Amino acid sequence: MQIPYPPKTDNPLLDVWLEQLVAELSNILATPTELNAVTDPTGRAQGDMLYASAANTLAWLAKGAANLKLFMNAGATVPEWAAGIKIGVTGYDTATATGTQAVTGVGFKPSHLILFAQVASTVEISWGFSNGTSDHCVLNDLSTFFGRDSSYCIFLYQEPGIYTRATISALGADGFTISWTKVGAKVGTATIYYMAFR
Amino acid sequence: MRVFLNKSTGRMIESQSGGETHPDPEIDDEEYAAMNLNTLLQNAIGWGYKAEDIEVKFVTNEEFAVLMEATRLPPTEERIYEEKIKLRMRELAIESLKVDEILPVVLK
Repeated sequence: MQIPYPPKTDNPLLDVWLEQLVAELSNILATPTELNAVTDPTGRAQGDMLYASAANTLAWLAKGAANLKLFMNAGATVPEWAAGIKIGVTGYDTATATGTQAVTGVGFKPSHLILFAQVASTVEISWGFSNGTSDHCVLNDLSTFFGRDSSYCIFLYQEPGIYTRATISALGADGFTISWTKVGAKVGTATIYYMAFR
Repeated sequence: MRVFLNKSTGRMIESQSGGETHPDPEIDDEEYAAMNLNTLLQNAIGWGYKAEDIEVKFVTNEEFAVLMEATRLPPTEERIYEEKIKLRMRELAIESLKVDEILPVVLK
């Protein structure tokens, strides 16, 4: 908003001072006017939120769909609405030599995983968790009771000396990496159901 | 489902769900799907397969069911018997436990 300059006086020093004063006042008045234009809720929906889309810049975040949760985006710059949870499945031939398996298609970077693994037509089964650094599971290790393991989140035990087990070695932008270790003449296709949490 | 098949045997080596569409509308679904197929290709190469020896593709649920069924370990008499023995051995081990042996384990 520009305030009109006052008429000139007979005092040049006073005129300069007045011009500076008017310019400063105009600046001060301009800022709230622009701010009001952004923060004006006219036309906004119930649930819309104001946030800083950049330093010193306000913007509106449209409300999310029902039951979505508020996350920071992948770049950790602005908030966004998302489900943040995904159920998926991957299959893996356990005869494959020790190595890594990248799993993608999750739609976000997981922070934690629940993994149920099983080999069809066998009693091989495990239930595990991982956060990419800590891996835990319980499994059928053919002992009297079910076994447990705090180093692997998948453990498919075929028989003594023959098994494959895995950790989650990386959590990526769209999935995770399973690091498999095969011991002995392991066979069978594993089905791994996973639930990924953002 | 996305699958990775060994061309010479037709056997499914790996499968993964999802990857056709991304929840973020700004991400092109076609590019995303191609990228996710490439995940399977790179896994295969990492496991020592040559790109020309394998096939990666999206399949329908029906097609996947057929491929999955083919990966089942052969249900031979011997195999079924082996699995039954494993289960029976567990049952026998549990049945043989005595209360004074199991209590310290349970209460530990």
